[in-house]
Amino acid sequence: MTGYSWVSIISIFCYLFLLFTFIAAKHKEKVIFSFMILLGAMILWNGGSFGMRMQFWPSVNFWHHVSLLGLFLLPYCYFNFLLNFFDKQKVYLRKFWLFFYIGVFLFNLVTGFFIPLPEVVMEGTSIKFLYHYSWTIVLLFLVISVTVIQLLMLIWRHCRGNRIALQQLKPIALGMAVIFVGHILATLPFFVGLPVDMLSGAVNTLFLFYALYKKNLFRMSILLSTSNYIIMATAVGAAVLSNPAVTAHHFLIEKFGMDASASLILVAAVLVGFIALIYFVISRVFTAIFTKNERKQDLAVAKFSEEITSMLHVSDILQAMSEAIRGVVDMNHMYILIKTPSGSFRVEHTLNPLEEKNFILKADHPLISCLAAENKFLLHQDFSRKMAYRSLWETEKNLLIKQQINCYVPIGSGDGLIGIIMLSVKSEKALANPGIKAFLEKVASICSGAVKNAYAYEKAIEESQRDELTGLINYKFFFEILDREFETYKNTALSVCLFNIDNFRLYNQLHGTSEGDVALQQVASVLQSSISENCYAARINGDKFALILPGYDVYSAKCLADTISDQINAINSAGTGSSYGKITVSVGICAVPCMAASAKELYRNADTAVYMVKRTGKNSVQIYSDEIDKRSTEKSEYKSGYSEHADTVYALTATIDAKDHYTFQHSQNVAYYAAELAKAAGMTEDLVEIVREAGLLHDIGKISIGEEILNKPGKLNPDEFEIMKGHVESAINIIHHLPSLDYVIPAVYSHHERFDGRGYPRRLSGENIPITGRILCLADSFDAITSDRTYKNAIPVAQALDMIRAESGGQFDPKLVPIFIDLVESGELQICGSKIGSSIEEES
Amino acid sequence: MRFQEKLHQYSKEEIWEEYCGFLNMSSKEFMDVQNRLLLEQMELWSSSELGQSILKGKYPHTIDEFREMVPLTTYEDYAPVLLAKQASALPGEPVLWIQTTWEGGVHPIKTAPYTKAMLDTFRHNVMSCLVLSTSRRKYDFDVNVTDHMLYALAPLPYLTGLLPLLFDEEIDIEILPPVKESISMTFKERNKQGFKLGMEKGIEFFFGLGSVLYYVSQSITSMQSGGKSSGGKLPGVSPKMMLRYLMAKNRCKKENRELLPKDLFHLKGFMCAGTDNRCYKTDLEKMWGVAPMELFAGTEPTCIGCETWNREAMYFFPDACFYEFIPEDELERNMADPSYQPRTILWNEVVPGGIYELVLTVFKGGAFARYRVGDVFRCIGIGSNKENNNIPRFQFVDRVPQVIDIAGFTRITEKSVNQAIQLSRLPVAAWTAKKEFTEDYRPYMHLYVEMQHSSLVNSAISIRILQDQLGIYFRYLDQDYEDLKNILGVDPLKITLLKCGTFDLYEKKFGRKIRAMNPESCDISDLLSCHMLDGKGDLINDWL
Repeated sequence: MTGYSWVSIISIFCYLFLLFTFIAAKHKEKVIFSFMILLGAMILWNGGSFGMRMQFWPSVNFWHHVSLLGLFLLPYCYFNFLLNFFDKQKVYLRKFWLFFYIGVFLFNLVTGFFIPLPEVVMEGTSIKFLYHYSWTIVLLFLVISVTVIQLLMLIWRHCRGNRIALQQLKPIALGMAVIFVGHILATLPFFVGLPVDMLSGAVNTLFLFYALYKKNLFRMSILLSTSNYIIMATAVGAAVLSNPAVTAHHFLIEKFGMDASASLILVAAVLVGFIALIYFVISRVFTAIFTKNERKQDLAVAKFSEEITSMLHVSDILQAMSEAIRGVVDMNHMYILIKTPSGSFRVEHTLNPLEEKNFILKADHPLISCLAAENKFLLHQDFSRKMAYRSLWETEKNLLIKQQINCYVPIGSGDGLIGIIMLSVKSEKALANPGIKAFLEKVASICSGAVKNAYAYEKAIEESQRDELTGLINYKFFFEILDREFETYKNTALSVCLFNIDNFRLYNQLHGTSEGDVALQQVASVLQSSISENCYAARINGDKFALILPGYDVYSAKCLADTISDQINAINSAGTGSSYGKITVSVGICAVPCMAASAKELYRNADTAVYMVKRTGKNSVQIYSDEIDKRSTEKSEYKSGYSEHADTVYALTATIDAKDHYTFQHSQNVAYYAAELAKAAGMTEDLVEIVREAGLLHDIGKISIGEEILNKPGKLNPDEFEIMKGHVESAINIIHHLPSLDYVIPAVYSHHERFDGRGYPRRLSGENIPITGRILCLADSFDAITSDRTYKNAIPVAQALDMIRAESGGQFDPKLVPIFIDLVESGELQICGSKIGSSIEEES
Repeated sequence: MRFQEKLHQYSKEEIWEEYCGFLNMSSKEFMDVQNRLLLEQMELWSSSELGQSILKGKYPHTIDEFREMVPLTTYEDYAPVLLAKQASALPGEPVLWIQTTWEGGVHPIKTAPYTKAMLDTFRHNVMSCLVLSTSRRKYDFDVNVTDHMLYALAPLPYLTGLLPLLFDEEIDIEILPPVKESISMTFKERNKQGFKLGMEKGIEFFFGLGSVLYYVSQSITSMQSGGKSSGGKLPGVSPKMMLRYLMAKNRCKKENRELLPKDLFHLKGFMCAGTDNRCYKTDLEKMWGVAPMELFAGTEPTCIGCETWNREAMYFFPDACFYEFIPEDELERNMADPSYQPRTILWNEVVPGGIYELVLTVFKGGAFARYRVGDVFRCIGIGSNKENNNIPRFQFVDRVPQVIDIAGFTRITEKSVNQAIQLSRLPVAAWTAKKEFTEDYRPYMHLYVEMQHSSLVNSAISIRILQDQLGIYFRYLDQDYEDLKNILGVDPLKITLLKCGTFDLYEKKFGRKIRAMNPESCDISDLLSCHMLDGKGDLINDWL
């Protein structure tokens, strides 16, 4: 083989090497594709030429035309490559030149008009190709010149005043200069027989390759992969060692008389050994020179990926990511911000734990929309040049400047942005390295999936441990913690405070469950904000809360409980609602080691203390003692609060009697009717008793109404009616001072509500009205209809029942009406008279 | 990074997107920027002493609340704080106070504070203007570090004096004559020196008030003629300019015309500001071969908008001020009843063809909120195929009718006319003033005056006397009016003396008084028709 052939082989090898490398690359830009097409044309040109010179099968003519196809396509390929390199469209122009040069090739293939077939001349052992050009070759040059001029014009237009483009153009211009010089030299006599044109083509390709690399269109690591090292080592080994191997093979046979096959095996083994050695040297040298940093980054990514597979907590993942980035990038600060449920981004992790963490990016921060839209690495310098930056507040700008942030990496998932890494990198030059950008993006991408999973996990755990309404620890988790903390603090100090909201059922009845929920949240908030970080607040059940206070002795726990109790009392004064049904708490405290020997005992004793508070007037703090325990175990029976206050109530009703005899009598009647109706409606004994007592007390508020209104003959005017309506509120005020009778409040408070919602004072409707109130309403009305009043005579019972029937669903509960009517019509219910008298006697 | 460094580091497309990207914002994107920056300004302004002096204890939290709680304001609302330069009462710390005339004779000056953030935005926006002034199409602009700018605007503390400093922060374009030297020069000296330097170094940019640009352009023409009379000597002229000069001379001789600036200078960018630019644009284009690009800037609002390569309409910058617009009908209702608070609409609510008075809230710690800057714009369309956008385009119409602004120099109000009349002791019984234009489309103030009947016997009254007397006092009261005369050599006052009783007759006939400032043209015709009637209201016929 001649030097010409060697140059061709090396060029073809280089082209193929680059071509296959880029084919193997995963993500290819458009310009890389056009470079591959250019490489293809080069391969055709060089390969055809080599095939022709080596007179390969099928014929010299065939390889001549292959070579010409590559040559004719080269102007188009350059044109196409440079348009893509400068991001120019020009679709029609590209197509035109493609079809034009293919047409020229086909025309030449058929006619040999531009470049005829060469004459093959044998000179001894060597072969020569003589081309007999005619004037027509000039036409071809002219056409190519037009393409080149057009290309130069495009370049000039693009690069005029654009220094960046000029910078990028430099290697391309040098490559073109080399190819131009190469072709000029090839025509000089001195270089006849030397393939300088091909050599210049190869050098030009390397320049184009460099231009692509400088434009950050690929990473060097794709070129310097293991497979490429093997190809290179094999090619170099084959090229350098093939001749010595053949010589050695013959030498072994001839000198040592070795069998041919044995010699071949030995030579082959040595050859393989040499190739392995070459591979080792190439890979070490190239890795050391080109890909040291890239390897470091890849290792960091691999390590990070491996580490986070076993991580379940966001903080651990962010810590690992922080370490991975710190290993590769030299920086001053790093902030990792994570999206909050409100859409804003809060700092979750910093490089240095002492760094400022209390800043957030609002949900409408332009950086967020910018990163979400582009989802790629962003330099602060580039962000500051975007339109979005112009809507930044000055405080937001200053914050980024103060933290010296110079780049942002989005942590995105399929659902959008979930986090942002903000870096203050020491060397801004490092950020220009595409490897660093790719590394950061890769780390962020790995992190995004992990963070998302970790969040889901943490959320699930959180949900299983937290009470949904108040956000406090739930019952189950409370006991887990109590066991754990007991083990830790059993020999030092650990207190448990149990808080039970007093009369919470009554509160719910008066204000509705939604208001009740708000009250629970307020109590929870007070508890949570009153304890330190090592303590725990829990909601045990409906109205029962608990505090686990590690390190607290009884005295400290009592002080804290008192403070909390005061704060809860303060909720009532801060509230805007009704003054009825105040929120107070009964608190029981127990502590180890003095008062309990196990976690269960600790809890039970605190619970016993709460029970004692409940029994002794509520709204206070009680520390557990043996005495309490003893008292609590004594049998306690249900005792109506009414009996405690019967004298008082009788005195009050007697006062009404003095003012308005009807009211006194009326209360007795209503108590009787309501109790009978409650019984018939299937209510429990306790409720029947409550209804009866409520009946006795329902009009107690009339004590505050003037006699002139109470005994007015005739209809009340609107002002007087308004005053009369006030008797309900007055009744509640009076009953409120008899705490053990407060269970009648819901009934009394709602006995003037109508089923259709048009009653007073709260205009409740349907089943929102307590059942006791609905019963009282019916009984109250029936007695009013069937009694003589100062302004009307009694209406007969039958007519009264008709009126009640007519108001079924209007004023009265439609379910209660038929029951009441049955009671009257069956005679089970006595109308006024003896029963009432006996009832009064019993009471007195 | 300075603009000139960006020229090295970024492609033209990237620079265009940074500085002129606002042209291709969607309406929503534009309003997002507006709303976001207004929320920032609301916080700053509402909590400042100045803001509270207007809000009276209220604190808006939303944009709707802001527009509801803050009344439309004028400079009077800010004068106590701003004229005393009470920095502590402002929403942001001022780094600079810019000054301008307020109301000729009545209030000598008004001052406006500029915070650092305002200056940053201002600088960015004037660089956008610079890029757009050289553009011929999208992405195609031509700004170079080696360029020279002939600068025909007033120095600091006027706003115009700030622009060279802002340019200087971004690019080493040479201002002709240099700012430091020009401060101590008279207007004429500045022009002469600027032209001289321009002949040495070339002029690529020219920036000034439309009227001043016209005057300077004429001066350049006459200076060239002066060169001829002095034997064709042009000291310090570069060989390139000399060659250009000689070729231009030859061409003009062949074409038998005067040498024009365009024969000597090939402008890349031509920018004009101020009012009445449309009066001069055509002549300027003839003289320089390039149509000037109009930009809108003011002492209170900074630079808020500019035209593009089409020179057809102006676009507002999204980050300078929050824009509100008083529709024409509301404006008229407000003029008829000054106590009426006109309704405003937002930038994205304007309709093509609508005429609006601009109301501004200056961003970035600026002092002015819902401020009636006194300028009227016309929305000439929404969206443009040429600029490939879908946002409103505007054209500056004029000042509000209550103000007569002549060539961007002077602002004459009813108060200032009354003061000039009072000082002149002329027995003027009634008057009305209207901004009118000469046949060659130059603005002037036309004062229609009626003298007191009783004084006619004792006083010498003629149009000449009135013109001289009032002119003296207008110049005395208003430095800008004086400059109009001194710099441009223009006497912008024309007097028409009306017969005694004309204004009364008008009132009797039409049931209302004629507006003192800028009445409608038809009202002026009616007034003149009254002038032709006798005391009984009958048409005077000389032949009877």
